[in-house]
Amino acid sequence: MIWRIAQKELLETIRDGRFVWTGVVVFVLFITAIGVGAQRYSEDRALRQVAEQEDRELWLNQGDKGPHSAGHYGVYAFKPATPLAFFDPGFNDYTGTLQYLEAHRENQASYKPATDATALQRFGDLSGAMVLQLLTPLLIFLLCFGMIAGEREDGTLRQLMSMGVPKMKLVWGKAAGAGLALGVVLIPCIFVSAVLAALFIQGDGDPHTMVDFPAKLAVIVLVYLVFFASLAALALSVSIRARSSAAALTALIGFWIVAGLLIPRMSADVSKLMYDTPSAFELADTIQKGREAGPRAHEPNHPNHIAFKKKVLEEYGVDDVDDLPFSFVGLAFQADEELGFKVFDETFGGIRRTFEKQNRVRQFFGLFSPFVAVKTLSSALSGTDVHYANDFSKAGESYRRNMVTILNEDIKQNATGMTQYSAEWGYRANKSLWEKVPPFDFDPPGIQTILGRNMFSIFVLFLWLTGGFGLLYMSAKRVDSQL
Amino acid sequence: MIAKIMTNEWTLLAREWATYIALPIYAVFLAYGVANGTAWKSFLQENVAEAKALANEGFEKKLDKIDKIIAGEEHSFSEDPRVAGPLARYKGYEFATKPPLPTAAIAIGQSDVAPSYLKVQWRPMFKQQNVDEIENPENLAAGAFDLSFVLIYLFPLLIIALSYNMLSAERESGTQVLLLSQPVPVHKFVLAKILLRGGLVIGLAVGISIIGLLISNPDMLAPSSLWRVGALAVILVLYGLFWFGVATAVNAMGQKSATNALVMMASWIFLVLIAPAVLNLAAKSFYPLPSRIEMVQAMRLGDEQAAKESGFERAYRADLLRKSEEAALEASVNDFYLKVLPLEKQAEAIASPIFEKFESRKKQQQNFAENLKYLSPAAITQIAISELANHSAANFNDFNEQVAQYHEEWRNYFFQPVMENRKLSRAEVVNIPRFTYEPESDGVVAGRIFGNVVALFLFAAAVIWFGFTQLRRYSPAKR
Repeated sequence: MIWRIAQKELLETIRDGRFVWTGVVVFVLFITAIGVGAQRYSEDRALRQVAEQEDRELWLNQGDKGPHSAGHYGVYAFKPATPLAFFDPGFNDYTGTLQYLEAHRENQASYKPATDATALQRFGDLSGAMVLQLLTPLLIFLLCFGMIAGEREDGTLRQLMSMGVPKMKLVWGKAAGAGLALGVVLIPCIFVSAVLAALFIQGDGDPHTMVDFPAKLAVIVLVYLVFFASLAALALSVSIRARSSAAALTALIGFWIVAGLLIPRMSADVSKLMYDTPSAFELADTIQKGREAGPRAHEPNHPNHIAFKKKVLEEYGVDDVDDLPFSFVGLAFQADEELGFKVFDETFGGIRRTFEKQNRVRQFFGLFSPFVAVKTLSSALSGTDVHYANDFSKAGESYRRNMVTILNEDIKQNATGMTQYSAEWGYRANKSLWEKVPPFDFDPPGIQTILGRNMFSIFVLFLWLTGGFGLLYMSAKRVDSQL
Repeated sequence: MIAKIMTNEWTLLAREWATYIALPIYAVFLAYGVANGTAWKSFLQENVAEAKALANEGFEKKLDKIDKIIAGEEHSFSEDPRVAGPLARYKGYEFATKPPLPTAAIAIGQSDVAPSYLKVQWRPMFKQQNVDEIENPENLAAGAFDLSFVLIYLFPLLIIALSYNMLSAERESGTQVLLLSQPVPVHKFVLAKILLRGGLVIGLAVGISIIGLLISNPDMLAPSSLWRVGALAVILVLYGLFWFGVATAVNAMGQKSATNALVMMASWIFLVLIAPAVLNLAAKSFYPLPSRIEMVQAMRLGDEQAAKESGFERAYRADLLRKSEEAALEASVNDFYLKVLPLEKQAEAIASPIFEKFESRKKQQQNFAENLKYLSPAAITQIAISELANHSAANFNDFNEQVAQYHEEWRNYFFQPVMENRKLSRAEVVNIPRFTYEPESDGVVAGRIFGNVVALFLFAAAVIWFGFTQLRRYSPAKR
């Protein structure tokens, strides 16, 4: 019986011009977005791979120079993307794309694409994820709002009841019909995007970006299925309980506006109110103050430098830096860097923690809006969330720390007995030292890390699913030809 | 007659509970948008003031040190701020700032992603690191709940809610036949209904926005800002009229209320959500910007090539060491600066094609977006409102161009002294050029906004005309 009801629903839906047109629009938008996304992804990947290689060559062949000069020359780290990013660009437009790794400073990833965009950017990016997160719910509501309320208005519900159709079976049949109709739109979408993906990302054998790819893909499909199912259950319940199909539609669209448009923006404001983001100046000030205490490796006349020297001489029981078993200049550089590490951990680490707290506040709003939860999970699995950007920044910074330590250690060992000037200007290292600094490498987080970080959103989505079906179950008992 | 219908309508509306929920909520949103924008404006003001103060302090400290040196204080070579090379490259800096205009609270626009202050030194602006304001990417992506959001997204929704069933409700409740038996044509009924609802919703939007803005931003009372306030009112009225026009046209089709609601929501989703996002995608796909990755690489390779061509090497003056370490350092540093500035110019010339391509593509992309915005009244309104706040992409481009010019000025000022290998005089340090932001002239901005206003007017006029023409053919007997 359920199957027969579902078949009838499907047939009726397909004969309904509104659904067909909306379905076609969703399909076209989805395919366009995926096509453009896949093309952009493969171009970016090619550029990045060339740049990574070039940058490594430049580093290795920078010629003979002082290790500290090499530290200033630095290295660029380019943020890689995982293949799912072409489906969900997430927050990529608002996070930096590359990070300059040099001596003395922890730079943040810079060049957010949004800075270069036109004003239209703020209306949002048309992406596969946007179509699924914002437009498909409307399709579901359009599909479901009249399923019961409409039958009631047309008087056919009374007939159905009189024929002895069990209420539960009727409702499950309707739900299955909605699922089938949605499948008619979404399955071609998935099929075409799979083909596009295969065309554009084929040959991407990079084991780094492909970490846990099949698992991530499976989970993301599951996330969207759960999301759609919860919304369909909610919409059907509303259709059962509403006075009229118009009332059902109004309620559902109202929910879409509040949950899909208002709550995400308001949650951003609330999160900022609860956890204040420091201004760039406050941060720069804290960093400067923190670093002022350093040994001022470049300034031999600075009191800090003199005091540091005195301390080291006492420690080693010698009267002159020349008598130290290593280069004092290298040690001073390293001490200065190590103080920097601590200061940066406090400042930038603090910012990252603030962002995490803010994001947790936003995730909390998922309780009122499944849109928030699905966006969080989808971007996390696609490697386009803030965690991913932070992981990249942290990887860049630990690479930088290793790089300057290797360089300073070399000065310490090989510039022994040299004066400040000679150690900085006279001592030259060569390719064999540059080779000791390994190429930059970044592994995206695996599926376990991602799931672990987003337990709350998973829980919230699960709540929406059980809540939606619970409501549908209770509503199904109340199906009546009159209200 | 119209006045009479309006009075009756008002009585009806006043008895609808939805009116008492929707309108106050809307009013609160408007007020919240104004408050949010105002808070953002003071945040920008503080940052800009702080940046300027920092630059001033830097210059003052240097002058102070110079005075001490002139008075005979003992100092090492590296401590002397007058040495042109280090002063131009890293010791000296200016913060080029773009202070918010009094009308900045109208819309946050691009000001949350485009910096309002930039550090200027010798190095190319492109290479300047850590100048971005710190903001959680998730918050940036969510978008701000500012006045422009309330007006562009929510304002039409309220209009839809209040007007989707202007005629259909009469028909569905059976009162239409009664109405039409009166000696009044349908379009007059509709006109009266629109005038009442329009007066209410548009009046509320314009009233709360403007009164709220003026109360919380008293600096907007100057004539240079008041014309922008007037323009905001005109834009809101036209945008509102457009949506009432859509409502008229949809009602004139004579469909059920539910169908009307669906059609109007579909138009909203298409014009406010989908069209701008599609245009954005089109702008990015037709005129893709060269990747920042390519630009960084071009710069790096340019440096490399220039260094090889000129045989650049840091001079180690072991010969001077016997004299003193200080003398050797001074000679090395001077030699470095003599070589490095021309070297960098050469490197930048090598890398310049991609930067030029970037700039020209960016212009093309923006022109494309500017032209295509005419496909969506929401996009027109968004861009126009951002212009009023001086937070549009065009406004930031203009600021960046001013900064680029100033950067050139900075370089020119220092180039000669560095090449002559000399120290600046005190007067020369005092006269280091400073940056002052000149907002685009009212005439230029008004000219751009005028185009938007005309386009909005045409949109509104077209749908209203279409709606009322359809109404003349309206048949109450249908359905």
